[in-house]
Amino acid sequence: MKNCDILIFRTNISSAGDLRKVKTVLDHHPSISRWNVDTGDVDKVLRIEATALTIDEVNRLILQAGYHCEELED
Amino acid sequence: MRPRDENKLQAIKQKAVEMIAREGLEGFSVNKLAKAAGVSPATIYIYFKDKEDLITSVSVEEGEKMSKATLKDFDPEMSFADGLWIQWRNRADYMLNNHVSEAFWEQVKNSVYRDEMVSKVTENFRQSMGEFMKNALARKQVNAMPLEVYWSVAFAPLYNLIRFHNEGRSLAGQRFVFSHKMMKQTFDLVLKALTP
Repeated sequence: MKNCDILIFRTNISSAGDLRKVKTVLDHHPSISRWNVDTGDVDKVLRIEATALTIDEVNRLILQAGYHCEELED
Repeated sequence: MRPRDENKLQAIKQKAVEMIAREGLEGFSVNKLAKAAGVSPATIYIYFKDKEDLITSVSVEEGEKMSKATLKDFDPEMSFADGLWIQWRNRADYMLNNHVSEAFWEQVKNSVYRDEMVSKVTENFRQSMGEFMKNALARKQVNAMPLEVYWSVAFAPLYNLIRFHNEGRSLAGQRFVFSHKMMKQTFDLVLKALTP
């Protein structure tokens, strides 16, 4: 487990409907302080500000909402 | 994840201003910017939440830079003629020496980012200008008129000289180069029109 400040992912979250579904899993997660999806970008980039949240955990959460994501490497 | 790197952030912002100045907002994307700046898109998202956040941020900074440059050596207590001249000099210096900033403003001024850029033009700037005009009116150094009329006479002639310069051609199609002498000549005519 590593502590993370900002996590960046490529996703397939693009419509307002998609966002609503993702919102249900991310909004109330205790580790996440802020998140957004740049739906205007080709990679539909999900950006999460969080403490003590792992990449795997985010993958699982997004999958649970019905989407997938992949960490964007630096 | 990586700590913030101020140098990297500055380089990203500088490259964004250059790209928008050159190519406009239409085709601008985080991916393109990342390539041009030699960083990964993920790095850009460390600093900005999305493309809009990035453009807003650089627009605000450019606006602040512009207002700071315009206020250099300016004091609202100055006489109307002195104060207006300083503003001419500052605006001319800024426009002639900051082509990238100037081109950036041209791209942004018809977009949704214009308001952000203008609204953040420091309170300081608005206050200084307001005070300057109030003083000039009280001292009867300037005629009373609507702001738009004032601006059209006070600054538009300068901007037009600079436009000729940037186009490099006079109305007759000959080579045109902006000169201090020509600026002063135009300024004197403007002053005549605005003062009692």
